[in-house]
Amino acid sequence: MVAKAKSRMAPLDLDKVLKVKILKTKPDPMFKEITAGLQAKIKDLATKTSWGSCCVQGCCVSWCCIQLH
Amino acid sequence: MLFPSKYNHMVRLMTGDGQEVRVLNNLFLGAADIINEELYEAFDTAEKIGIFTAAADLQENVCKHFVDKGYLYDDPNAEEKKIIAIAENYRTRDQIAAGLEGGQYGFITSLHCNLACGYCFQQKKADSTGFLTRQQVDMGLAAIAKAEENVSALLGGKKTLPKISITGGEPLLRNRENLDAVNYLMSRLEALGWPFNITTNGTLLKEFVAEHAATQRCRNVQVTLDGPREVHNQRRYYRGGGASFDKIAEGTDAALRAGWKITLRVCLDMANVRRLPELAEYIIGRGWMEYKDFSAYVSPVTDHGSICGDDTPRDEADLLEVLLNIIQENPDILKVFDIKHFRGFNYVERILVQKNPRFPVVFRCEAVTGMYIFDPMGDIHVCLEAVGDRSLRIGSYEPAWRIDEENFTRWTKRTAMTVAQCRTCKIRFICAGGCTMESFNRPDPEVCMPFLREIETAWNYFAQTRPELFA
Repeated sequence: MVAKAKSRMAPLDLDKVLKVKILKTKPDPMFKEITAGLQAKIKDLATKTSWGSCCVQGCCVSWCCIQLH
Repeated sequence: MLFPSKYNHMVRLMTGDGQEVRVLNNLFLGAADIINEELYEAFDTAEKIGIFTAAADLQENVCKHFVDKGYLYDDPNAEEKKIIAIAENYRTRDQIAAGLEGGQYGFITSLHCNLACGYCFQQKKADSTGFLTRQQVDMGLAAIAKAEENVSALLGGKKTLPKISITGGEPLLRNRENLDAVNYLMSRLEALGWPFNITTNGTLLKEFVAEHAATQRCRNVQVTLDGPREVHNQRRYYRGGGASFDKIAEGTDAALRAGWKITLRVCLDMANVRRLPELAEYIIGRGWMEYKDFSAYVSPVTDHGSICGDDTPRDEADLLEVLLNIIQENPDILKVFDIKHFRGFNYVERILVQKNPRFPVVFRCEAVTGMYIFDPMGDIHVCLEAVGDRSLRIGSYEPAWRIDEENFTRWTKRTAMTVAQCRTCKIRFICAGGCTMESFNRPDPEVCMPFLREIETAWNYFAQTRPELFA
């Protein structure tokens, strides 16, 4: 089993995996969220209603430039 | 087993107060986290081998966080399925218009202009179309009403609000034919209750506002100044020569005093970017910032039609880098100018400062979403830069409505979902397939933009100037 695992993973990757084990005992926070993202909102919109994109492209006639919505 | 998102992007940053920070950002869903070095390496490895091997070593809640935010998936196909589900929702022009609760439309009064700016995308087509007629205005508005019926039907009969852009050429030219077209179009829009904006070079704005009372129906009049007087006059001069700066400034004064909403645009490139602080100072000194109805923005000059040769920089990321260096030395620039038209910068700003990530963009611009633009030749275009080139029209509205589906599809098919190269690109939902017009003008149809570099430049800028955002 061990030999099989080694053959699947390059030595460099194994190093990374071992290094990551430190995480469980590290007192420092592993992550801090800056922005949650759109996961929930997109799930909702993708199943219930259509939505358009409002581009930011520098077009001089673009309505998105004047924030109509 | 967990699989990494194809859109994970990691950057190492040094903040202005000397902290080393690592950011993990998902360029599809917009989540962003500051992560420690071990996680950084774990995600880095995952990207190389396609599997997140560190999952077994992470606490369950940590793993769940990264799955919930769309950095990791338990099914290698789950992310693409999600993308397809989203894109399915707005496949057609009318579906997109429904999402915006009304379509976008444009009227070109003519391609005549009193200026001869060196970088103008219409310079080779100036004077080529004649002037819009009253009959064309009526036919265009009737076509919009018809198109909006279809959009409204998708919204269960809810009333929609079409949004109209009036431009040219120069839409405020003083000749009788042009004035008649503009006045008639505005009076019809007023009666219909449809909002509109006017994009003008500003040289004849003083005369225009002397004859027209400000109306709430007009959401915006856009004028352009390319720098302080000397710089602007070298770039935006009258046909046959002559400086235009003072006329535009006087027109802007008059319009603001009369209650019109003014947006000032600066077409930015390497030649004028360094003079931006002087223009900001001028705008403040002139008192325009004191009007609530005044705003200003800079926009990188682009050359989608390959008309300007090598002088116009193609690489917006280089321009952004110079601009941000100037802003660091002159932070007041940001009190005057919005720089959101640098797409990569805007992407990071919305995550980090506004905490409101952008929705994934599937369609690059109005051309792909089917903005109908009516010109004086009776043609319908979807791209402002294409107006005047009949080979690029998508149909006609005079003498009768006709859409050439094949030509229309040439524009609308180019999305983040259909361009093959986009499928493996991290900035697929930021660039959204590149410029269609540009793809027509190049032997290689792939039009990749340097937005990933812009994004990295923006992260570095905020780390240096706003370290508190990373604390």
